[in-house]
Amino acid sequence: MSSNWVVWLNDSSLRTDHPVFYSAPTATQAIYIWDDEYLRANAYTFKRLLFVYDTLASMPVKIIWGESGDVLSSLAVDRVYVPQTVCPWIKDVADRLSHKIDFTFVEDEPLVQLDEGKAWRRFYQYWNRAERTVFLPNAGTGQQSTPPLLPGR
Amino acid sequence: MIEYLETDFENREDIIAYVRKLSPWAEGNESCIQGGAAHMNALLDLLEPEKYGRTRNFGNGRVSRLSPYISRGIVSLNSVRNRALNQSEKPERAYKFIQELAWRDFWRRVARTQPELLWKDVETYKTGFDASEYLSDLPVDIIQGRTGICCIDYFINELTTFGLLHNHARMYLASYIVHFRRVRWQAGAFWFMQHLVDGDLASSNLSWQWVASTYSNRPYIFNLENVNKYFGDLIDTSGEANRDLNMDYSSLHSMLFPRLGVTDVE
Repeated sequence: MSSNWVVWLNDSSLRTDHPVFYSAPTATQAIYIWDDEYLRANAYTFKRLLFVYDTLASMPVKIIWGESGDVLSSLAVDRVYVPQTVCPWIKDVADRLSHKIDFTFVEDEPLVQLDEGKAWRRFYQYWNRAERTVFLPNAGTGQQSTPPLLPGR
Repeated sequence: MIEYLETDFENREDIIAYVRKLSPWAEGNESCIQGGAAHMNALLDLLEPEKYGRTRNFGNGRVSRLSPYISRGIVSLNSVRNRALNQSEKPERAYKFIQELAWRDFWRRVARTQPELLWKDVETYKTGFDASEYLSDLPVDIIQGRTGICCIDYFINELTTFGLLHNHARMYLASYIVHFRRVRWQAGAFWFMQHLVDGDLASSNLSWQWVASTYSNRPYIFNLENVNKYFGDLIDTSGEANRDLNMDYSSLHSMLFPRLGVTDVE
């Protein structure tokens, strides 16, 4: 990699207008790591793997084979921009490498305007607040998505 | 040494062959559901939030089929909501559709702030049984879709063949596994994540807990009459082909939860 940072896409963020691309410096390379060990541990079926690859093949992203921690170490990057995810495995990889790489997790566009850190328990408790902005375009934030500048493959 | 994988292909058959070579251990065949933004955009163009609201619970209802694209982040919840608003005369006509998007947002928020809940029981089962009384593994007849209950086998076949299942059918199947067969929800949730092209850890696992009653006030159960109402046009819902489900809710409740008193459960 020619720069010291990358965007590391994961299975919950396979698109090029994710806010992670606004947080990262312009033209930051996007990568996806085909971590066979992880995929196999989850016993994902071929249907699921193919759907992901279908999508990756249509995007300006470099797909790299290998164990995620090893790949990120080999790229010798200082900073990795990661779309926010609930996947515990991504967090584990970031924790393991945090002594040598800075990981910046970037939230997706909001569906509603709510306190991100609140630990909700029941849906209708959430819904009573969410209803105020969920029926507004862009949750009433006035923000519009525009595609960021990306490098070619 | 960094090993970059191929991204230029002549056609989809080449992608299929390439992924087979990359991960030869992966079970099953390709699904007709194809990834990529172009396919997602085609579905967005067909979005009919009002019809969704009226028909979404039916097996042949006007659902969006956007779920795999939302789960894999090919489109954001925000973009889908904006499109739904654009395609509805008034926001309230897209109410149910947007509320379903909110359920996803809710599950994600729960999983983000409390990741330990993804695989652990949030609460105890409200079924009269302790978690230790549930099987840890899925029985083979379920994995193979040979339970002998016609509608359940149909749903299992949909799941394993296409990697996609109507949301209502997911609830039936989850309820059957947890309550009729007394299997821990985690076994079913892992199985769903393996197969579902739209497998989303937060939505799927926490919904399993909702059905199981470890994240709701009571267990979700269903009977044949309910399946017939929503899937009767698609599946053989005769009593003979679905014996174990063919009873009223009161009898079902007594059979499934003998340690509980008589309650209204649906």
